Parts: sequence; structure tokens; C-alpha cells
Amino acid sequence: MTVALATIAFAVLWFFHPFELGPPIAGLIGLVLLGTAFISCGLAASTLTENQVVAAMVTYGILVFFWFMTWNEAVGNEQLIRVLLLLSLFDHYYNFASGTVQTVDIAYFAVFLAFFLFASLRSLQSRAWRGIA
Amino acid sequence: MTAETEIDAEHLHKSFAGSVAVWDVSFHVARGEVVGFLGPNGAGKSTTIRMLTGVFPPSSGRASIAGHDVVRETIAARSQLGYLPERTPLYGDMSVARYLGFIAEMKDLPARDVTAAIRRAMGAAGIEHVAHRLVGNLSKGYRQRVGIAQAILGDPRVLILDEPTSGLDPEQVAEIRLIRSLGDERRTVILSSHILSEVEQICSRVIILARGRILAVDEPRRLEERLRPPPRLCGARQWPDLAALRGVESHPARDRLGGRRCPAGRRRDPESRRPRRARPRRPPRDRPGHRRAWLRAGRARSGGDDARGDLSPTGRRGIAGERRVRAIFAVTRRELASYFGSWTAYVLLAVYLVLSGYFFYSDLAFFVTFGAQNLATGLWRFVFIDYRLVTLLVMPLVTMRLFAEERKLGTIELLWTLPVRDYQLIAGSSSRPGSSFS
Repeated sequence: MTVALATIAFAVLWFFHPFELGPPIAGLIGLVLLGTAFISCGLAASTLTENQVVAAMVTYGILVFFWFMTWNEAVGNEQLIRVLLLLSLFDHYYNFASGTVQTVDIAYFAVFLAFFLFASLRSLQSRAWRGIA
Repeated sequence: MTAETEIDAEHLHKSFAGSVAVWDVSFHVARGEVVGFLGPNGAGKSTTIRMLTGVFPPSSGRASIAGHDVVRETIAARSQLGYLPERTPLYGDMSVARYLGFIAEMKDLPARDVTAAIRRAMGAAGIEHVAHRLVGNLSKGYRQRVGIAQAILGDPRVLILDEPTSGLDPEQVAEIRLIRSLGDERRTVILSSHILSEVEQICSRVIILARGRILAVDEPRRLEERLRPPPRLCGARQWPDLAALRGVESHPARDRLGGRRCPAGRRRDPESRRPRRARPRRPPRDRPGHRRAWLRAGRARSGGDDARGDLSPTGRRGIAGERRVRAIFAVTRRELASYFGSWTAYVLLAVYLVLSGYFFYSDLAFFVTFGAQNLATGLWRFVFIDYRLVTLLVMPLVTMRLFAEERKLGTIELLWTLPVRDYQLIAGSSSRPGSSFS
């Protein structure tokens, strides 16, 4: 719904005042990837528990961690910040939001997605040794 | 295993984190038999049943359903199976007909046969007159009948019912009669119970389990004859005196038990002088490769998985792909229907609109105050900068239901025994928030 509305809004605007289409398309790709990353994270959290509130809190915890991790740049040294920037979810999204598509950002989101989907699968299959609680 | 054997279990063991749940359970069930698992709570009935239905693999040993190994050909085995878990797996927000329609899709019944199959199952379970009522509004007895209807949907060769009468009033003879009518010459039934009289009424053979082992296997009438003097009360339930079972059909597991305590732990067999071996010293570890084979069977298509006649390899690939997509769409549709059937979706929609409106208003103010270059800049800021916060706040509220809800309802256990793979469940579940997002 989000992406559809945004696309329609940009299309209407473009119809009246044509502008370069590349950057908004890059932004929309970024938005889709970001949403997909959120969904995969939420899905993995929901496989862990039968309590929906716990599932939501775990998802918030993980996503906010990936958001806040580069905020306190003054504390870490330069190398640590460099590593954290590589891991930060939103720093990778900013590149899309500024209208550029970079392979490293796509790869990051692909790995993020694959990791959480794999975690979901493993969590479901953990019944083999954990049983059904 | 003879040609007539429909369910075959050989030396099944299961342990969880070092504690033994099932120890060396072996039995065979012939086609058309109705067999009861009898035992107290914690005897290993449900664990044995879950191994047979493919919920999880045995730590060691093997089992097959209708000739298909439950570990290596788990999808083929599940497609011959109807299963009613201990907690009746129902979605309260669906009507009975829609619920059965969903199960039919998950069982991959041919589309042209679905309506007739649902009608047959509802007729057999006696629930035609509640077809359009919400499952959540039905009485306990009717819910159980709906559970039985989903199990017999598609006429599976093997029917496994885990405590089908638990929670029902003793007077609910209609349900007992219904369960008794399920077995015929084509269909094999296993059911579990901790009430001897029920099993006597329904089953042609009884397997008595206690502490994860088989104590006795015999016809209920013969078991009853040996229960002299009359059964004593152990706890709240009636339990056979194990000394009286001494002459019952010999079984290696039963022989090893010697003079162990009665299942409820109240007294020991006075005649026995042999030392008791209540627990193996070391619980069986998962056999190397056993769990791997089960995981692999959940990913790759094994030879026995496609039970739709002899097609060319290309045709089989096409049908297998179609089956995968069909199951994924079925899960997505159910998720969407369930979501919009409750108030949660509307509350979330309101939260979403309020947050979006707030950010849109603030961006518009920014545009007016600071004079952004053009309207596209303002829209850009709204969609790509602020909107991620709305997504971050709303998305966990959308995804929190998915599998957490399935676990809470107990339906996850049923989904694990339907002929679909885990990744299809994941793809189907994630498509729902995905479709609302995109």
C-alpha cells in the first residue's frame, strides 16, 4: 500500500511537472528492501514465541538496535565505527533515499533478508530437538 | 512388515535435551485396524504420535505410514494421513466451510473435488448445519467434530487422533460413536486416550504405554479379563494392575520393565524381584544423519513425494511447482482473511493513518516555511525520509501475529503434519505483511 501510494503520488507529480525518474525509482527500491527486511525480522521473532507482545518487542529491539548502533560515534574508535556503518540498516537505506543504487547496499539487504528467513526456518525446525512447548 | 501393514514403527526412541520421552517403541498396525494408545499423561503417547505424523523425527528407529518413511519421505507420508492433534487446531475467525476449504488446499486436493470432499467430510462428522457458522462460536463438541472433519477430509488412508475425547462431557456419546464409525476396511485409525473404557468401546487392539515404553499390546477384551482383581485407583484415573498384565502378549520393552512401578507411581509389583531399570543410563542421542535426513526431506523433493501418477519428469516438475505455489497462496489468503476479520487490522490502519498524516503535515509545513525547491522535494522527504519511521513503528505490529498466533492456537502442529514444507509456510506468512506493504 505504501509503495503503491508513493508510486501514484510521484506519477501524478511527474505528469504535471516532469522530473528525472531515476532517483525516485532508487528510493522506492530502497523502501521495498527496507520493508522486506522489517518483515523478515518480524517473521523470525514471531516464530520464537506464542506471545504476540513479546514477538513485537523482540522485533522493535532488533530494528532499533540496527538503527541506533551508529548514533554514538564519539565513543567508538574509527575502525569500530567503520564496522558499525557496514552493519547499520538505515545507513544502507540512506544511499537509496538519496537516489543512488549501490551493489553493496543491495547485497546488505539480501544478506539481512536471507539471515532472518533462515533463522525463521531453523526456529520452526527446532521442534526436532526442542519438542513442542 | 507385511503387505497389509499400514503403520509400521520399529525401535522408536525420542529424547529432548537429555530426557527420554519414548524408549524403544515398536508396533505394527494392519490396514483397517483401529488401535488405541492407552497411558497416563506423560506416557509418551503424543510424542509417539508426533513422530508418526512427521512433526519431528525420532532420535533413532524408523516408522512408515502407508509404506512411506516418515523421515525420508515425509511429504508423501503426510499426504496419506489425517491428523487431529490434542489441542483441536481451529481458526476461530473462519467459518466451518472456509476452514475446511483452507485445509483442502493445504492437502492439495484437486480443485474440482474440493466441494464434494468438504461435503462428504461434513456429512461424516455431522456438521452440515453449522457449515456457515464461525468456528469460534461453536460448542466444544462441535469444534471437536470440525477437527475430525478436517482430519478425514480427502479420505486419507491413515487417521491419527490424539486424545479425541479429551475435554468432552462423558455423555457426549455422539462424538464417541462418530470416532467409532471412522474405521473401515480401507482406513486405519490410531487414537490415544487415558481412559480405558473409551478405548474399549472404540478400538480392536490396545497398546499400553507408560513412561515412554510399551507395557502391553492386546485386544481390549483380553486385557480386561486379566485385570483381576478390579483395577485400583491410581490418582484420579483407573489404571490396570500391571501384575495382571503379566501374561499379556510378550513384548521386549515390557519384558525389560520387570517389576517397575505402576504408571501413576503408587505401588510396585510385589511379585517381582528383578532389579528395576526405570531409565536408561544414557538417553539415546539423535542418530548422526537422522535429523539431517528429516531437514533435507523438508527441502528437496524426494522420489515418493509426488503421488499423482506417472507423469513425465517435466510434468511432475510443473505439478510440484504448482503445488508449492498453491500452498503458499492458501496460507497468504488465510492470513489476510484472519487479519481483516479481527479489529487489529483496523486499529493498525488508524495508527498508520495518524502517523502518516502527522509526518505529511510536518513535511508540508517544512515546505511552506522554508520553501523547498519544488513539491517533489517535499514529497521526497515525506516518502523516503520520514516514512521509514512509520514503517518501523507499524511493521512489528503487523508481523507479530504470524507464527505467534499459530503457536497460540495450536494450529501450527496441524500445519506441520500437512503435506507442505516449512519454507512454504514461511513464504505464505511473510507474503501477507508483504502484500499490505507493497
